[in-house]
Amino acid sequence: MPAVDKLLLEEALQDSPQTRSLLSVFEEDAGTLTDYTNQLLQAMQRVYGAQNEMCLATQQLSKQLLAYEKQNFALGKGDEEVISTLHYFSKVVDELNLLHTELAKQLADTMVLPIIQFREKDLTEVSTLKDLFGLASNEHDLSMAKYSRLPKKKENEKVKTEVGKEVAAARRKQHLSSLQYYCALNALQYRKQMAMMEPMIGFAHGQINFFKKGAEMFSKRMDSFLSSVADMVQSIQVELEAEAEKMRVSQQELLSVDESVYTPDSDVAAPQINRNLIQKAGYLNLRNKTGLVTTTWERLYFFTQGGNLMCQPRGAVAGGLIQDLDNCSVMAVDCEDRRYCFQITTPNGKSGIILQAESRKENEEWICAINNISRQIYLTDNPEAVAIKLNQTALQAVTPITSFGKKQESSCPSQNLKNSEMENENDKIVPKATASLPEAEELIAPGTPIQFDIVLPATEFLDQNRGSRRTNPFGETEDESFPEAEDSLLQQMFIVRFLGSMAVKTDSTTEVIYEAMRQVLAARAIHNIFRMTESHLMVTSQSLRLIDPQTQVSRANFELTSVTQFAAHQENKRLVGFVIRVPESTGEESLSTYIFESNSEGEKICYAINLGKEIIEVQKDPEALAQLMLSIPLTNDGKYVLLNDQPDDDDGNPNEHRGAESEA
Amino acid sequence: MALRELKVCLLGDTGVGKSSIVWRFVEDSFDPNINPTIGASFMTKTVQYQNELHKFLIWDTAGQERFRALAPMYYRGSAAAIIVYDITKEETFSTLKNWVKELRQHGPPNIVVAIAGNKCDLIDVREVMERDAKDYADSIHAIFVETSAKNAININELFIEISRRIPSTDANLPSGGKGFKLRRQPSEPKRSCC
Repeated sequence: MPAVDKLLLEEALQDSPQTRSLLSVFEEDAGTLTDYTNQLLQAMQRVYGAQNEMCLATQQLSKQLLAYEKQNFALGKGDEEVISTLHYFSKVVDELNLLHTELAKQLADTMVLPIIQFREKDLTEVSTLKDLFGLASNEHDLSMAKYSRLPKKKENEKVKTEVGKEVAAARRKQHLSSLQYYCALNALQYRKQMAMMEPMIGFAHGQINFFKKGAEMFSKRMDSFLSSVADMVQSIQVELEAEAEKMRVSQQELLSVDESVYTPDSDVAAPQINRNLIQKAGYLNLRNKTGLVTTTWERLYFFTQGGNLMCQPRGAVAGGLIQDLDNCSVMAVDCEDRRYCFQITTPNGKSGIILQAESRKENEEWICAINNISRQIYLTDNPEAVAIKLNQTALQAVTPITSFGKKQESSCPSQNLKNSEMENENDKIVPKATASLPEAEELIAPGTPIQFDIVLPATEFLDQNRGSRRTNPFGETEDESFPEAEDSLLQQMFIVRFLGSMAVKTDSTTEVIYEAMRQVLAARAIHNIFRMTESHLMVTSQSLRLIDPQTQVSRANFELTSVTQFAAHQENKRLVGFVIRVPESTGEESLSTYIFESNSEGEKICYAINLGKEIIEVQKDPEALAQLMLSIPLTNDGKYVLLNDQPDDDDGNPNEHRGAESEA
Repeated sequence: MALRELKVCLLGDTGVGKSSIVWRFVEDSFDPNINPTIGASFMTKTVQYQNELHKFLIWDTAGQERFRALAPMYYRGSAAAIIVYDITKEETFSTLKNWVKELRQHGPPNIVVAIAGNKCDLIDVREVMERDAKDYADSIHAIFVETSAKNAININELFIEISRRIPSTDANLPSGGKGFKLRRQPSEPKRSCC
């Protein structure tokens, strides 16, 4: 240790200015030391604080690692490996936390504590002694001044000795305090050096201890664990890369598709339509009535499940039932000038929901799928095959005339593509394809053309070359007159819309009408034909007349006697149809079925026709006629039959009526 | 009569017949070609149980593994879960055990668990013994029946048992089914096709 400047205690009593100057140097040194010590302490406290923070931080980290398990991640509940690894890490962090805590304690005891003690004890002592020395010095000065002012008179001897004592006491006190002060200042020079070293020894020891223990605790034990975790991370990384590559490739693939995927209705000219679907899913717009005349369209996801049409709004976790499709009918409709609309009508004739598809292909596929489902073929053993067969027969049944020929051409190739096998088979042995429906075949010849328009130029009809199989009852209406209508006993008007007509093979059963209804509706659905000609159907006791509502011109006239069958659809009561038997020019008779949709119940029309036929029968016998007329409610003028008041059960069975009558 | 809404979800491996059970219960029909459930579907059926009407809100989930993560959305708030396995496929029974575990861990605390061993009409190719399944069900206090959606065996009984097990408190909170158009009424007799 080098020689240290020090205050000589011997000079304390003399208290010379030189000594005082030297003292002031020591005082300055002590002041600097105090400032520095405060700063040093601050730095050390920061280290200690950081270490303390480290303890808390590791504690929290460990807790957080354990919390992974309790997160209930919505995905990846099988993260067992991650969970167990994190558990282990949490344990490691806990141990590390112990070391950190120990280090913090050591830092507190061996670093922060000594320097605080140095500041509190030594520096405070010096400053206290300085104050005391100052006081004593002042006191001495005062008593010296007092002593110096003493007069020379003898009588003041007593005062003199008193003041002399006072000076002596003050001088002793100053001497004492200056000695103590000097000692403290001298000692401070040594303490200063110690005080700086000691905390750093503590700090270094603490750190070394910490690292030593840390090395002992972890280095070996952790190595294998860490390498296995690293392996795991590595393998996950490899998996990720593989998956990323796969995703990249598939993304590229998916993005390299034709622009048509994004363009709605891109294939409108020649859509590839699969008509054999028994299941379909996709977005459609659903028409909602919001008021008397206002509607909104909502884009929703629809899917079929068995015989149900389900609807799932986005954000819903499950689709709800929107329509039971069993026995429903589906038809393209014109709605609010929107394209690709179709309507699903429930079996009881209530017009159900109106939906809009986003393309022609979607529209037709939905119609076909719903049509297929509505026949409940999904309950059969091989629904796809049945659907294919059904559509084959439907396609054969529909050889659309004139304007629809083009459409047929465009839709046929797709059919060929999709079911080329079926098609080929079909070409060779036609009966086989339709063999599954022997009944339908007996009623209506496969491939019978359907007429969708009530008025067509006669030339187009002649071109058909099918004259032998069907007649055109609409041709010569203009020439005819109907004088009998004037005095007809029965005259009832209905609003009807013509759906289609086709030649049939038999009129022995009303089944033929039902089959024709099905084929007409299927053909309309398949070919997206929604326009319908509205007419007034006038039922009299002589004839059925179809009258143009605007011009009042008759479009067609059928003798009531030539109407051999008539029936309303059993479930969709709006549908009504009848069979006309007309002699051909060749001498044979031809049978045609006409299908209509009515506003009122189809059964009322049937009832009116039935009544007309009854009147024809009884007209031969005036008495029976009178009898019959009595039983029929008439309007006030006695001309029109009041059909609306008929009890329901009468409406229900028009055919039975007829049967009973003909027997009589 | 008091109407209680009971949310019931169906869980189980793909192809075990969850949708078929729902169909048999709600519509009393069976579709041999039923396709794998595309989306989950939601059906209701109201039945009388003692002096209460129980309206079952049935959430039929998709069994395919890729929809697995959706499951909590269905069983959340469910009063009962029907876990279905196929008695002819051992592995579907293992899947069932996982479902039970998941329900125990993450499902509603008082959920009634019913185990249905479906396709019991196919005893010739049985792989899961009824005894084993019953013992397992007993060990977790679950309802157990072997069912056949195809032959309508034990389907109604399954739901009756669920009605019976559900605590008859008045504090039944209307559960989950929000924003659906519930049009399906108790199944009507099938109409004949024309």
